[in-house]
Amino acid sequence: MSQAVIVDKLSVHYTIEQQPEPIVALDEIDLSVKKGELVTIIGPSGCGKSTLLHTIGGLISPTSGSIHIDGTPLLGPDPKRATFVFQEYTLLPWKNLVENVALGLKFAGIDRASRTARAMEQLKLMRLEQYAHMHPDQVSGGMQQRVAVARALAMEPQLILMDEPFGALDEQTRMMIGAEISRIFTLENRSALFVTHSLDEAVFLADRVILLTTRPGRIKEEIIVDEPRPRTRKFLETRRFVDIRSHLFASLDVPAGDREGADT
Amino acid sequence: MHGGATAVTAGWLVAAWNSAAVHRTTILLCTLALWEAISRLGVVDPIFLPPPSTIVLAVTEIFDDPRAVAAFRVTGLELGLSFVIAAVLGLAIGIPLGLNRFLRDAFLPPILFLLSTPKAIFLPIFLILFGIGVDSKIAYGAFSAFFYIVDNVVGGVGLLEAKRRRLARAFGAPLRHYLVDIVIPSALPGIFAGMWHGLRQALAAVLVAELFASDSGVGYMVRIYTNQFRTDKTLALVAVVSLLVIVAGSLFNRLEVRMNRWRAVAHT
Ligand SMILES: Nc1ncnc2c1ncn2[C@@H]1O[C@H](COP(=O)(O)OP(=O)(O)O)[C@@H](O)[C@H]1O
Ligand SMILES: [Mg+2]
Repeated sequence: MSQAVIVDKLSVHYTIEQQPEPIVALDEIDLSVKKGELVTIIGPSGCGKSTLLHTIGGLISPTSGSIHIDGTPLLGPDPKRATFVFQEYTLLPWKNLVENVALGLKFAGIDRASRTARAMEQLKLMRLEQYAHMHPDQVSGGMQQRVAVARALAMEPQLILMDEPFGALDEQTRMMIGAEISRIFTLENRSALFVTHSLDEAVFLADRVILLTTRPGRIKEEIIVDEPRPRTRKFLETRRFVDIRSHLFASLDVPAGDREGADT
Repeated sequence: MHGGATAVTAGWLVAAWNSAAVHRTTILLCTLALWEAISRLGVVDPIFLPPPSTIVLAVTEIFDDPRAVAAFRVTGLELGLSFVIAAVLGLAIGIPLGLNRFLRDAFLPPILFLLSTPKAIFLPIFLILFGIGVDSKIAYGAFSAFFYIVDNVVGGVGLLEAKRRRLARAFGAPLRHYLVDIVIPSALPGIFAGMWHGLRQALAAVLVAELFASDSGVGYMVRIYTNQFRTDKTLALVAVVSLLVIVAGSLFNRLEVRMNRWRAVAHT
């Protein structure tokens, strides 16, 4: 398998006005994602997960280091190479669901007929085609987030960047969408970096889990989840899942009082 | 059976009593009746305050006067052109100011300053620059409306959330699409408020300018009729203008509801 993305010694510092020392959000991160691989990133709040994702997607310029997608350096946002699914769905309420899915294609200058056809395909994949002409406010939060995923997939990007995309959803909806994502990403051979604060989600979705340290963000550990995809809920009850999950839980090394909060 | 009918009548009365529109209409009719009475009974001189029935007759009279009909056409033209100029300039300047903090810091203060200045003191300058005809009315109307439009457009664009800007950037929106698909729909409430205030402001400015110095238009006809002590015809002009404003307002509201249908959907 070839590499979809290579991140080399990536550092990001935030300089704040009237503060002499910059905040080191990321410190020399090395990371790669293979074609078709789904990598999840987990780590304590404020450790730089969003910064990492936004930088890889070109929304933040690195202080040092480089990002290569499919062999060429990424210097700014390029939705055909790296596409975002944000935590807040950020659908446009004045557009219906197909138009929302087709948004990136419209921005890319693709004509209405072909972009609508491509958007409809993605909605079908998400089993949302019968809602195509509804507006975001008329469907549930879970459906809205699936539309946001479809909007990213419609770009057919080399890498999908997902920053706690299902964080606002209830556990049951989240697992259902997780299984859906596992199915579609496997089917379409999509590469993805997926930030989550849910241990279950991290293990369930990933080919590989990356654990970040508290600030400055560095890679603490990588764990391979050697289980064929797509996965079903049954995987959640297997010995292997439980072992990896408890290993990660121990590695997160949260103060005892915060333990409950770590996996919610 | 009988009791049921009474209950229905009572229910209807309660509904009427609770209806704001019924109260409003009742007060309006009472005022008109009182006005009619004091004018007819000679409590006030009907020359200075003619009764409503006389004004209604005067309305039909002024529509027989070709000068009055022409006056409405002239004022309508002045209003339309001044509003279009103000709207185009207001959007062209308001949107960049709303999007860019630096431009806003640099240029919004003088605009707000002029917004709060009584525009009437500039009127003589417009008459000197553009003459006594329609040009000065158009320019002065556009000038008066512009500040209201810019102020509201800047406020509307300010409603654009950071997450939508980020969405546009992440999905590579070209400027044209950024404006049409994201900025303007987000700013519609402010844009509508600006257009409505601007339209009213332009109408007020055009009429004041015509009253001040002109050779045509509704304001000019008001001057002619008052000079002839035709209070009835003057009030007839006022009534027609007020009616047109009310009609325009409800059309505007309808348009706003239509354009913001997605917002209405969100509330159901
Ligand atoms: N725009 C910014 N300016 C200054 N500091 C920031 C900015 N964004 C994030 N940070 C800081 O960088 C660190 C990492 O933030 P973030 O990447 O959002 O973490 P996470 O997503 O893991 O919670 C935090 O300490 C945060 O306060
Ligand atoms: Mg974050």
